[in-house]
Amino acid sequence: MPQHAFKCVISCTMTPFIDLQEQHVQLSQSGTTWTGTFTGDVGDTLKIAYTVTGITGSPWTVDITVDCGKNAPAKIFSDKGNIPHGGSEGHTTSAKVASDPCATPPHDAGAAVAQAAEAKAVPDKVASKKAVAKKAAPAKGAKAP
Amino acid sequence: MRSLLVVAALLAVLPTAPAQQSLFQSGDGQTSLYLRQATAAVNLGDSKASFGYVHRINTQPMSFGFDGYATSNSGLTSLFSSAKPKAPEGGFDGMIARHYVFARMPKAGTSGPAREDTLLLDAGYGRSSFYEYATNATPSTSAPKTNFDRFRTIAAYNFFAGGDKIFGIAAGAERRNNLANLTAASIQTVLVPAPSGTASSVVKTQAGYYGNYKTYIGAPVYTDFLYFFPPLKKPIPGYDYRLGIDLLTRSDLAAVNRSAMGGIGIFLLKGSDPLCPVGGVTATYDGTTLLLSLTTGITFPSK
Repeated sequence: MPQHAFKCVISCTMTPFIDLQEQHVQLSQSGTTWTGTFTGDVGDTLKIAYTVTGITGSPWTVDITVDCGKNAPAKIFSDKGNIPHGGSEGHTTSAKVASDPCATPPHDAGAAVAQAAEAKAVPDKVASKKAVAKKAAPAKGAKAP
Repeated sequence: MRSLLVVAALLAVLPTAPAQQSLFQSGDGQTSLYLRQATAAVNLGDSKASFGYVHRINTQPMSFGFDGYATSNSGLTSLFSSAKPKAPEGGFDGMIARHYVFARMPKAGTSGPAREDTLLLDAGYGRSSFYEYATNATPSTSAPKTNFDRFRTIAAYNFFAGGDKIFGIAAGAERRNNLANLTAASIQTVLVPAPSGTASSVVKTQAGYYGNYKTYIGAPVYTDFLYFFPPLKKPIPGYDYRLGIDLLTRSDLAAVNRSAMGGIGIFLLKGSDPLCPVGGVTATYDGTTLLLSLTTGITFPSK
């Protein structure tokens, strides 16, 4: 499998942390946006763990993409929400990575994207994520809080 | 109205440049909260405009930053002040900080009550020039300007907890002057006296400060307790704001000019980014004077 450069873009009002393949990704800050890159051969599955902190009720987003040169970046993983009471939220999940993410339409490049959207459609987000995690194998992008 | 404030803020920023300090400022432009930076800020109460930049990596405990600022002659919106005079001043600050000093850096993937703290050192320099008319001295428009060099070193500690509270304390030393205690005055020199039979003459006017001018080393101590009210349960379309309240103290422990004042600030915050106030009103009281001032600002980059 070739190496890919995974670009992480996280927005939150305080400090986020993200591990890809169980390695810390260094994020540099610009306002509420934190950006970093992880390069490596991850096989067909990218392990993701992230924690966002901020003011209760403020929005957060997590986006992982692979740069495709002149074309639009290939989406690998995307999630968003609002900071819960307590000021922190963390998730561990995984995303399917095609051998050539840029050859795949952006919405198909990461299986977790669809699963995250599916989780959002259910009112009880946590419950739905647990259900997704039980239902799908880790390689399919299972997500558990 | 909001766009008008932004335009006003932009105009005020143009001739100047920081603020490692947040926009949660009292009317004197001071705060102990050093929140997220890369901020251009304008404090109308202090007529202070500033621009700053901070370099920070999330997994590295150390960060640094710098900023520049400028103030105009006096506050624009001090509603109940004693019209304390102030000279225009420009300067810059540098900051080095350590994050997660006592609070534990969270591991990616974990949830739980958020705690984040920062210990930082802020050092700065500012310079102002003005005309000084000493008591019992003959005033002259040919007198040179007096220059004042302000130096300051402040250590600050900020603690964020629970998603809705931030506590800050700052203390240090600063070279100050007593300009605020002098009287704003102007002297007039007659260039062309009024011809006989007329009342009009040509005069040269020069603004300055009258009184016994002094410089001294102050020992400022600032505290802030900032609480973020929860967002509206039923969002109003087009209204993406919430409120925050800041309980503050501003003191000077130096014997030469010992003072203390307390106050409260109410800030209107962006719902998407509560750390950047759209504007706020602060009221401070030092035992004799109630100062009510308005703060408004912009952030850069805007998100």
